[in-house]
Amino acid sequence: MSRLSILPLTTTLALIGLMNVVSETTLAFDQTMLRKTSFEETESRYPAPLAIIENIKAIAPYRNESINDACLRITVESAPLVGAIDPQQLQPLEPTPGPLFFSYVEKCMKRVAKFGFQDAESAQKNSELILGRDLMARVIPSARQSAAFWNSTRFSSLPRDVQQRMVERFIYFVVGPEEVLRYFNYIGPQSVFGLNFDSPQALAAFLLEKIEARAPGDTVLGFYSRTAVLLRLGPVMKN
Amino acid sequence: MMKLRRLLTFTAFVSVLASICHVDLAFAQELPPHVFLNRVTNRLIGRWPTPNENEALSKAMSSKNCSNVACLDSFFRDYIEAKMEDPAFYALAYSKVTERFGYKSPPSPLLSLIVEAGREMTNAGEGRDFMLVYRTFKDNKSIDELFTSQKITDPIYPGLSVSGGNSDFFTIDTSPVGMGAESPTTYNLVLENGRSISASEYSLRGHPNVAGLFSSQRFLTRYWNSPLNMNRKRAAAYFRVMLCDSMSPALERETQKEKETRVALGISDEKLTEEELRKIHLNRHGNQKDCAVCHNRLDPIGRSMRALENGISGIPFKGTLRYFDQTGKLTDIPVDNFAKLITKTTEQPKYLDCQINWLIETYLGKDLALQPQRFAEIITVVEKKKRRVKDVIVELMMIPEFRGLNQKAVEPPSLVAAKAVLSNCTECHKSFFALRPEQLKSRVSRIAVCLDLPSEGRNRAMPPSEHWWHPSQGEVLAVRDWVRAGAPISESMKLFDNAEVDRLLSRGNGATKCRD
Repeated sequence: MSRLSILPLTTTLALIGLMNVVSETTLAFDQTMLRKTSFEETESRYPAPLAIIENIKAIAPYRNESINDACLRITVESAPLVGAIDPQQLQPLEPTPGPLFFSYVEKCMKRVAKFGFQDAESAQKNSELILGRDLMARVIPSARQSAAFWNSTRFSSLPRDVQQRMVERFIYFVVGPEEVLRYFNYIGPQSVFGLNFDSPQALAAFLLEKIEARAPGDTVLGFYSRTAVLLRLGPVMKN
Repeated sequence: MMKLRRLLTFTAFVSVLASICHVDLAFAQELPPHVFLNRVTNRLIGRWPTPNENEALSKAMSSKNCSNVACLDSFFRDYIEAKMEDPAFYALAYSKVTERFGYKSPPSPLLSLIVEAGREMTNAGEGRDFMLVYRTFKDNKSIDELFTSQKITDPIYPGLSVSGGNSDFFTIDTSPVGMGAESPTTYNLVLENGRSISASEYSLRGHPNVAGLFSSQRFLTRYWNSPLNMNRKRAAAYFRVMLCDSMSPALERETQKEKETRVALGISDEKLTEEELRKIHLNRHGNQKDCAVCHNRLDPIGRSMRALENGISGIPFKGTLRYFDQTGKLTDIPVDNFAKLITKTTEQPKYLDCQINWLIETYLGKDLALQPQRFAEIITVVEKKKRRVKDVIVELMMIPEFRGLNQKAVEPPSLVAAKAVLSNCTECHKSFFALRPEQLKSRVSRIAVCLDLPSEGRNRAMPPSEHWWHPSQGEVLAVRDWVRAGAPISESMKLFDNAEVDRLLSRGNGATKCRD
């Protein structure tokens, strides 16, 4: 049976980083890291290839029903990528997800996020879900402006305290409350970021600084997508 | 950008080992409620909980002044039941069933797209297959329904001219069931957006050859038949799905393997070439001695499947349910037709063991540390729930092991003594005391023969003569005494009843061999 098993967040982050910076000379190490990732069915795993897609969709769950993007479908070509089984052997088609898997998840998540804020109705629903009613009321004056807020407003143009609160909400939506953050080592003494964050607020401040420095001209949606991909690509594989 | 990458890479390297260690540590204790919520949600619908769901849990925790899963039992049971109403739950359940049958994965997690796949003439049975799985899960039917159902639920595709439900090339001779099949009822499938798709439901109750997913077009085309094959391929799939017997070919034929891979992946298949046929005829592995071990069981099953071709005949074909039971005894149960073969199979303990194991692996994971005693207890709970799928999933998800707690059963002294002796066998053989009770029974039956327990070990075949360890008579007696007591694995559970013990310990019991 196929399942993408536990991917320790650190391993995933290492992979993401490595995929971008490693040269051919470090390929051996890259392969060692990849072996930690497998399509085997374990206690802490994906329940099914379709669940990978469900997870991707969850980044902005409300969207226009007509959207049926190719990255959300399993085809003969994408089956090895998302962890389908070989129906004859009832074994994973590929023993491990290849490096393309991570870029697939990242690209697809970004596309889905875009779809989720394309029209006013979806944007409004997603805003309420992600930001919560209070924060949404503060940053988005009317429902009609929801899509414009996410797609046109530069994140850096928002007041600093709003930015901080928004990142805290992104973290809460994408990962969960403090208990979950602590369990998966987003915060705490063994944080995957190598720093000892003692609270979700400290993590939010860290992400805010780092992501803003990376893409200062990002829209709110761009900033959210980056944060969500970064946070989910690790533990999305977990559970 | 580079700074972030470098930071991630560096921090990741530093903390890889620490993180892995932490995971191990974390699993040694109970999962916190929010983490458990996360796990349950992911397993059921493939997504993480929403902020509202997390907040609802926080409220329940504070109102009950409780911070562990055990005291939030009713909250989580209600939550699991609610999640099992989500369309994603049915899509994921269907994908697991298709994997189990060796079919191509569904194309999408959207129910509408899964049903739409049935419009394609190359895959006309997918809609029906999906509807059977959906209906079984949605209506909380017994898991047996997947295999025994005699209802055909046919989605109605708008704009597609279909007169009658069975009018595609896959036809069923409905004459044995009379007019009942001609007057369908309607069944509604609720989609993601709240709208529904109608399906026509035909009752074929009493049909001799209609049996759930085994008589579906997908099954019959996936496991293609030929005059040479005589339904063995289908019979092997039956053994895999119903009895967890892998029944893999002893000899792999490359031409056939390639062809089956093409069919299984849904790539349109071409006809066998003359050369391929010639190779297959030259290598009839079923005629070889070693292969006959499986073929002796496959063929009686295959005979009852003779009515199943690209259509389903109304003529019954007798067959035999022949399989090795948990004590290693070759069991023969004659049946009048294929439908009865499947129904009879669902009455066998080995079948239930197989299905529950599948559900556990599907929803809880393959590596869940579940002791045989605990597995036996779960079987009892499943029977109390009348095998209803949703009820069973709730019970499974609420077992302590799934939230990281190890339940250690108290072992009877005779088991402790036998274990100490048999631990010497693990130098060459895999340790077997962690197996499921049905598997454990089978293994102990074989041990009784290998150690020659009826004769107190005088003519034992194991360990081999050249092995460094040979059990003393006292050690053999320790194992025999445990078996004589019914091989208890806990205070309340024995592996064997008295009749089985008598058979195991009687001389001349040839049902099981030490080696095949």
